[in-house]
Amino acid sequence: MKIEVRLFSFLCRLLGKDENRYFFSMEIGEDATCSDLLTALHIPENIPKVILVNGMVKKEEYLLQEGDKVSVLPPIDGG
Amino acid sequence: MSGYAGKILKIDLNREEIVKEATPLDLIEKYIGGAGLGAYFLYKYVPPEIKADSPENYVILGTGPLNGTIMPCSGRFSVTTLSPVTEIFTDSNSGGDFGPELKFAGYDMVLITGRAKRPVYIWIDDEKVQLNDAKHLIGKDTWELDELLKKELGDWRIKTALVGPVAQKGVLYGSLVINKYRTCGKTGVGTVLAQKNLLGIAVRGRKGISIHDPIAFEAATEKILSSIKSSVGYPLHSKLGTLGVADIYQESGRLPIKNRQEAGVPEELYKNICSDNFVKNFKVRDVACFNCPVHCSHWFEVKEGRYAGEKGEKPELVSLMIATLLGFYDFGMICHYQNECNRYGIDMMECGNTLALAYEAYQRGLITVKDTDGIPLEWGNIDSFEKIFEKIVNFEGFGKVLGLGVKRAAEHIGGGAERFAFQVKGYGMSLVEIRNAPHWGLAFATASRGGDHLKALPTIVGYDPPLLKDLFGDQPPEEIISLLEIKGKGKLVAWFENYYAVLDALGLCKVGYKVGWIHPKDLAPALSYATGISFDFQRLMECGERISNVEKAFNARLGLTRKDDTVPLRCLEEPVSAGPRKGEHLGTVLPQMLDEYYEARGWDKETGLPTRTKLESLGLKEIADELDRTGHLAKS
Repeated sequence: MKIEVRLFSFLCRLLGKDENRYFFSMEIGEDATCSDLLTALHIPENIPKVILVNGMVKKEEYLLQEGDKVSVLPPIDGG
Repeated sequence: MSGYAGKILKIDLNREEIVKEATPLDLIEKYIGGAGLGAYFLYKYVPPEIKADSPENYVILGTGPLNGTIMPCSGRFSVTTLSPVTEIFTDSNSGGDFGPELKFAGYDMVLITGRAKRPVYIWIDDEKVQLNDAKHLIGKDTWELDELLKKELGDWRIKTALVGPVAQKGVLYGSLVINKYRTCGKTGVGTVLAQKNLLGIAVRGRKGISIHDPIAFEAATEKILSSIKSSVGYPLHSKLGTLGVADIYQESGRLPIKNRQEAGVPEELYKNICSDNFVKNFKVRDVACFNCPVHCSHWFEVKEGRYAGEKGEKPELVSLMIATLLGFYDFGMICHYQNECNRYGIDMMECGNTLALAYEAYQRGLITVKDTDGIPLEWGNIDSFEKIFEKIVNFEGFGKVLGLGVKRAAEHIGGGAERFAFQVKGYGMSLVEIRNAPHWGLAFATASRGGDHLKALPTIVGYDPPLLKDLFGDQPPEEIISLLEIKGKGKLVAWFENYYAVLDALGLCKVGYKVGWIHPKDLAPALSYATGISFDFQRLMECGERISNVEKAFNARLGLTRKDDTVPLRCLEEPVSAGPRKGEHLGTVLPQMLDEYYEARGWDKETGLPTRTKLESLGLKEIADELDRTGHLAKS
């Protein structure tokens, strides 16, 4: 199935992108979870992060659906 | 005395009298310095019958024992006063290098009262302190003033804190502009100086700061520097500053648009104001405050479009207020109005909120072009914006209404405009959609200076359970860091208010010292090595709690109670349009968090007033007695 991935800050750099926002679409297996996605993207488990699926906070075991918009953000806050 | 400069400067403008006193050790041990001592002096010297524009109001500049040292991010200083925007307590804080220069001249604090009979500025040149005539400087913008003073005084290394022309004309939210590009922006501190016939302060200092144990202090600062540079927040802030945070807000439904009627900017518009666009097309280089490894500011240049040629410093999250709240998605325009606000001495936050209120009132037909000097206040209409901004700058026509700030402007407009006036205790809120981060709403509600997120800044960067356990005990880490969890957040906000009161008292920047960037307990040994006064973390946090209680007592003495610890009605009653809490508001959760907050504070839940027990436990019996006498102490 096809999903949209949206990475932020240093998470972009893990994929070689020197940007603060990096958006792309990708194919992933039918029963994939957020955790499977992070593994596919080679994002290490021990890196602090927040996952949003279609704007809502989700845990890593969340089962992804066709067309989901998955945002992976560093836990950075405050202006 | 180590760490401290050792002297306080007291200036009475009525009598043009300048007195130097030793910085009092007994007060340092209770309030540390900076904004902490500022809160103490304001409570002591500005009783409730004084109004912000009374000559008897004080303007209190405070540095702090770590300000101007090799401690990272040590360029901050505070200005404490009774705000003309809110008529309650305020302090406003700036980076740059004015604070360190003041310490190098030999002064921890400057207390200014009275009203000069002639326009003056204060010239501090190490031991020489004088009031210079400023008649020839009236009406100049802060950039002209900065250059004129440096020429007049014959030294380009002078640091300046200056009032712009808008404060002189009557705008209540005039800021104090520091060396052209930094500001004590919040709550109209520049206007207080203008009301005192004081155009600003120029300072040149050539002394060093004595450190009690330089070798141990250097090691302590190296440890903190290493923590800052290895934190998960450093890559973003060191390259993008708070513009990078705006990207996070946008993605998580916390970037409000059109006076917060909706959350989240449409992507096709947001790409024009995202941080990557700034870096690619506007940023020239990073800029740092005094001794700051984070360098979150930037020099920019606008190369094309309506504002081509504009150069300046530091567009940040707050600079986006006029973009997202008013419907402008052009970084050239954002950079231009960043400069305009600095030149004229305008608080971007209060100005943005007040304009957004007027634009929504226009949208709803509460006002028409007949009220606005013929200017159609249409979202995203740049020609109209330029005209209405000029009205504020000149404090003329409808600008006379908008120049009074968002709360007063809403009262003037009427017809229910108060409902969408985004202010707390009379001061406009910073740019975040609090319905998608409820405990931020609590932080706004309880902030002693009104609608502001920086008094508490209840944010933990990264995820480090051992650190969280060390600071917050058995409270579950997931509960602490969750943006959506309500439980435990009252306690958390109270803790953060105390912690950041400590940072403002030390003279350090909150960016580099967020929980997770450093371990807060590393502050105590650094301070002890610098000053020779033994501080452990518990004692530091007690000082923070004492400072917070004095600020609270100042406002309680003015009659503020629990009813004032709230947020605008839209946030309490109208569901948010998007984001993780889509469809929800804060109507039920804010009272729950407030109850927990007051309990953590040891204050009365019903009235929100301080209790004798808490005040006396902090050594504030005299304040408890006064509040008791005047009916502002909790009865229980």
